[in-house]
Amino acid sequence: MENKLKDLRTARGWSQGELAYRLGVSRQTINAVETDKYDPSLPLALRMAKLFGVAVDSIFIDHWVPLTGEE
Amino acid sequence: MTTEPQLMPDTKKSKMKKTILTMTAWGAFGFFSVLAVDRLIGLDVILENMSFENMSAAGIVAFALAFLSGIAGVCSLAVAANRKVFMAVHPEVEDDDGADFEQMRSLFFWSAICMFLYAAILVLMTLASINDGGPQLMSFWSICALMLAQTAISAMLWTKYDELYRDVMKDTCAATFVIVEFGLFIWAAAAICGLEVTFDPLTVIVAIMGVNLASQFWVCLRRGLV
Repeated sequence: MENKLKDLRTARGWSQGELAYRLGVSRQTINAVETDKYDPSLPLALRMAKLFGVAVDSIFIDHWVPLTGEE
Repeated sequence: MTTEPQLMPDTKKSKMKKTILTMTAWGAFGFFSVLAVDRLIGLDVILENMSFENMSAAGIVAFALAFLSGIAGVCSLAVAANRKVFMAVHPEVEDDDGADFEQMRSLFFWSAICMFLYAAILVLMTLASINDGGPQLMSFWSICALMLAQTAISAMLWTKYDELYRDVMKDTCAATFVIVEFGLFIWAAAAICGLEVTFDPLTVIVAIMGVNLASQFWVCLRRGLV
C-alpha cells in the first residue's frame, strides 16, 4: 500500500532507526513499510498516526472506492 | 489491542549467548574427539557399516539441504559478528552509529544457530538411515534434543522480535503448509487407490524442509529482507 511515511519521517529529520525506536519496532520494519513491501498491523499504523499527529488515512493511501449501491 | 513486545533487551542476552556457544563448542569438541579416537584406534563404532554408496536420493538431498543450511548459518553468523559485513548486506541503513547493528545482531545470531541445528538434524537423520549397525538410540535422542533446542529458539524469536518477523514466519508456514498439504493429499489418494506410492520418513522430512527453505527465501525476498 502506498504511504507517506518516509516524507513524514524526513520532515522531522529522523532516521529509520530513530523512528523504529520511537515505535518499538525494528528498522527493517520501517524500511519494509516505506518501500511498500509490508503493510503494518493496525496497532502499528495507529501508533504511527499518533506519533506524527495525523490521521491513519493521511499516512496510508488506499485507492479503493466504495460501491454506492446505484450500479 | 495488544501492545507490541519490545525487541530483545540486552540483559541476559550475552549470558544466554555465552551458554549456547559454550554448549555448541563442547558438543562439537566431544563429537569430533570421539570420532578421532574411533578412527585412530580403528574401532569403527561410529562409522561401522556405513556405506555412502548406498545412500538414497533423499539422503543426498538431505545432505545438500544441510550444506545449504550450514552456509546460510555461517553467513548469518558473519553478519551478527561483524558490523562491516552487516553494513555491506544492508546498504540502505541510514544511521551508521551502530545502533541498528546492535539491535539486529542477536536476531542474526539466533537465526544462525537455528540453521546449524537444522543442518545437524538432517545430517544425523541421514547418517542414522544408512548406518544400520550404528548407535541408533543415541542418534534418536540427539535428534530429539536438537529439535527441542530448535523449537525453543524459534519460539523465542517469535516472541522477542517485531511484527515483520512474525509476518515472515507466518507467511513461510502458510506457504509450506499449502504446498505440503497438496503433496500429502496426492500421496494419500495414490496410496488409498492402490498405486503403491510409498515414502520413507527421510523423504518426507527432506520434502518439508526443502519447501520450507524455498518458502522462507521467497517471503524474505518479498519483504525486502534479502
